[in-house]
Amino acid sequence: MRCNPDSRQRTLALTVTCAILFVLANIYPIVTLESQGLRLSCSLPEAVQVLWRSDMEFISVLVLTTALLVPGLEIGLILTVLLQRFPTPLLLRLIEVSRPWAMVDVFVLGLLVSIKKLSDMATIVPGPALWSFCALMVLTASVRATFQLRDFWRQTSVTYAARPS
Amino acid sequence: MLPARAESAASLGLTACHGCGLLVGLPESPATNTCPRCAAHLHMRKPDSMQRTCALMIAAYVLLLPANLLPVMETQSLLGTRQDTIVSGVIHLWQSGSWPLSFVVFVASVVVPLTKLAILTMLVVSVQRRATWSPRDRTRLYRLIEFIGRWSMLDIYVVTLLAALVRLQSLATVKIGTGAIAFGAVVILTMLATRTFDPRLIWDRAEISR
Repeated sequence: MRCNPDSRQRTLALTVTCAILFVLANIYPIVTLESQGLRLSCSLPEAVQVLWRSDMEFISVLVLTTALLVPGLEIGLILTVLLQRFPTPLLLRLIEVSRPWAMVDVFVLGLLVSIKKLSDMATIVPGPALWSFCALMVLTASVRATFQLRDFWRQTSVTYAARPS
Repeated sequence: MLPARAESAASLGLTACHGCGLLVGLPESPATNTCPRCAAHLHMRKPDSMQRTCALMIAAYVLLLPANLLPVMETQSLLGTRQDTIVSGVIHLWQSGSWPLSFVVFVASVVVPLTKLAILTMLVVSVQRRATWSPRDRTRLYRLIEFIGRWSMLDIYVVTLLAALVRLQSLATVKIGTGAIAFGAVVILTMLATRTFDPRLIWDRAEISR
């Protein structure tokens, strides 16, 4: 049973790091493109905006949700649950529901593929967000491995008297 | 097949809550049963699993055509304008020498969605016809498609980043095509279809025929 405070502290440290990485990944540009004296860089929120303005609302929302909103939500929820004395069942359920829709790992692979494609036509300078996303991908996997939902569900049962329907 | 001494939870009137995993006893009348721990609705099996999965799959099949026939990306450069569908993009990558890239995109955008749909169709048909062949392998296949589902989003992200970055006026511009919208929809629909399918149905049929 992983209810010991050391394990909780470790998970908490990992999650806080994830939160910081998440903020960095979305504030800074992912890459900078340089060609013939022109220079363009963009961060993830900016890319989503570009899509929205080009009348690609569906894809814009899709990318925003799966690469930004849901991963952020997952980190925020795990952080909240770790800091609670007794976990709220609703938050635990939300964590479980949001897991399949957080696609940071697929996004990072997509990033790498795009960078390789772009490097053929211009000079690419990786931005801080790129490294943040990579680190976020690895750390999120760590957090998911150490954050055992089952143990937290057991802790909620402590506070009510079980009765079958 | 189930090992000799095992009983299924359903035969004992128990069900695992889909919200928190608690094993709860279900009375005969379905009515309003909520999990005592997390207040989620209790079901013996996922509600309307076959109907929902079929509907979502049919929608995915329908959208598969525009996703592959319509262009997903339009590249304007000094060499002219070029419209690429998913497949033509893969071929272009291959021809320009980026074999690993071409392979990655091919797997993520062509192999994965088709495999998911094919396997899910097979699972649905096998449950519908009350087939009894190897439920264990079928469950493994289900877990496989659950795992690979999200990876078809790769091309969507690639196209997004290219469109957002390559805005160098007359030098080069990339725009997303309508095929990408259809493709995005296919990815979502197949992910939802995998979620609505209840793999326990595979075992229900196997148990009845024992």
